[in-house]
Amino acid sequence: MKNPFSQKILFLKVKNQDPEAYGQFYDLYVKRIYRFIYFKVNSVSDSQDITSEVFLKLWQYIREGKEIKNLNAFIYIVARNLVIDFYRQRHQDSLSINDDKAPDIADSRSDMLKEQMVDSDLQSTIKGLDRLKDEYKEAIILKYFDELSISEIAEILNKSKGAVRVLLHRALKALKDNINE
Amino acid sequence: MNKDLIKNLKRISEFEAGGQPPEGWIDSNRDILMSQIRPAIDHQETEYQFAERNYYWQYANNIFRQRIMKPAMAVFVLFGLMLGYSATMTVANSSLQGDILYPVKTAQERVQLVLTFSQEREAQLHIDFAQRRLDELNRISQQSGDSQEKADKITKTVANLSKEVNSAKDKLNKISIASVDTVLTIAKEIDRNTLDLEQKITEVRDSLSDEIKNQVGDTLAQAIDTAKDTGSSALSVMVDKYTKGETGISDEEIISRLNERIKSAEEDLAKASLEVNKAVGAATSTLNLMAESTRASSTMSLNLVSTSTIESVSLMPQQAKDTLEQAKSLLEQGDLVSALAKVVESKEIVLGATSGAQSIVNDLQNVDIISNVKGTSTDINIQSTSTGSTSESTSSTVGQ
Repeated sequence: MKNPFSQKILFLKVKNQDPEAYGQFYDLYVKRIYRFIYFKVNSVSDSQDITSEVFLKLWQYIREGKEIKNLNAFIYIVARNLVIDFYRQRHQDSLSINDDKAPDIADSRSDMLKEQMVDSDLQSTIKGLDRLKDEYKEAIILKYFDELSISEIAEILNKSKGAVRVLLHRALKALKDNINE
Repeated sequence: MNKDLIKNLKRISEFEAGGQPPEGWIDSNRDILMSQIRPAIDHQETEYQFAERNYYWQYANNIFRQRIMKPAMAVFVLFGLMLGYSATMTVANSSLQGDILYPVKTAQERVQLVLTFSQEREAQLHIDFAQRRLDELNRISQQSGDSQEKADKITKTVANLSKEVNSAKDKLNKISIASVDTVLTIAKEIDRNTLDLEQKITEVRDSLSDEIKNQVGDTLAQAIDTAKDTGSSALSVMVDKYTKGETGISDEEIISRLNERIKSAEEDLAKASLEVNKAVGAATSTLNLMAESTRASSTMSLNLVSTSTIESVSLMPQQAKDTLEQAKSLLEQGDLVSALAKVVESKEIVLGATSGAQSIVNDLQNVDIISNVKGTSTDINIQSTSTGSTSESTSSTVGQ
């Protein structure tokens, strides 16, 4: 939905608890939210579970009449919080992903890319992205995958716009370093 | 490098490994989601349908509020503030000493000075502010009534005027080490303005009623003195630069400015001569009356100036005139420094003459002779109300 006017109308309908509109909203956002979560949890099944929970949780917020100024940013905040809850829960269950496991995931993802006949540039980029710390990864996904504005990213990450710009600059630099290693 | 990297990042998302959800999951998850949220839907169907009709109105309303009303309000508030500030400053700028907004006016002037980093500009500002005080003085002097309040306002305004003139002079001294052009520019400005201030303050003083003049005469005289002194300093700087052969001031200009000072000194001299003549005349007639009364063995209470004082004051106008003649002669000979010194000297003499005349008039006011001569009375009352004019009211019933 590229038309901003249609998108505004859709957001209004969602805020007015219109379920059909919420269905359309889901269609619009599900891939983005899934990807956002996927890069944070590195698991397809966990990403699917958390993504489902995000849309359900957001609907509950809407039903409760919670004030949502920017729905576009708010859904990422919900997703982010649920990922935090997910890790917290895993930590409690002593099942948190440890650092040793991360390269394996990157390797498996790399294998997937090979299977999908992805060129070496993309493979090294995705490997570099996997090795980034979570904060950098998050900023890059929001900016370059989901094309959110600096203001929206600042709202999601609870940072100032200046801090987000700095974060993005550092994230890109770190990614380049990872790729060149 | 960055462009390629960003391009790659965007391409990654097209693949499952880049975060693309597995096929089929999106739809199945959608069905689950809709089934979870549907139970809450049915009983609100009517409300949603009603709301549907209103979405466009709500959107338009939101757009109106966010895109039109908010900026419009912001512009309105900003405009209001600017208008308010502008209106306040307009009113404040026309305010006078004692008005509610007068402190706003002076505060704004202080701010202007604080925000000025050039000595040259500061000097110029002090001159401008002195001119503002002069304008205020004019307006206060034209106000009706001769109240104490009016006299107080004049005193404060004139004191502030003198302060600004002195500050301009200080700045001139500070920038004397600056470039010749800068110094000359400011010196010329001060010279021209102080001459104007002298004349205007004198006009204001002459326009005042005797009652007010008595109260503020000294303050005004001091302000005139300050303006003269500052003007002389400025002219002195100009003469100094000129005699050192600096460019930036022509022969005609320096001669013209010295001539203006001489002309101004001559005008002062003419006024001072008039005052001296009146004072000396009044003193002489009083002394004659006293002498007559003394011969009639009257009892007197006297506090009169000595004849020597009267004599020395009476000679001062001529001395000043001679000094000015010398200044003119020196100017013609091209000795500018000496000519300026003579102008200053003559001004000092004129000031001495004026204050001497005032002193005589004040002393004459104290004369109160009550005598009894052979059952009759002799009353001598010489009343003088100001330096500028002396009115005598002498009633004598000697020998009745």
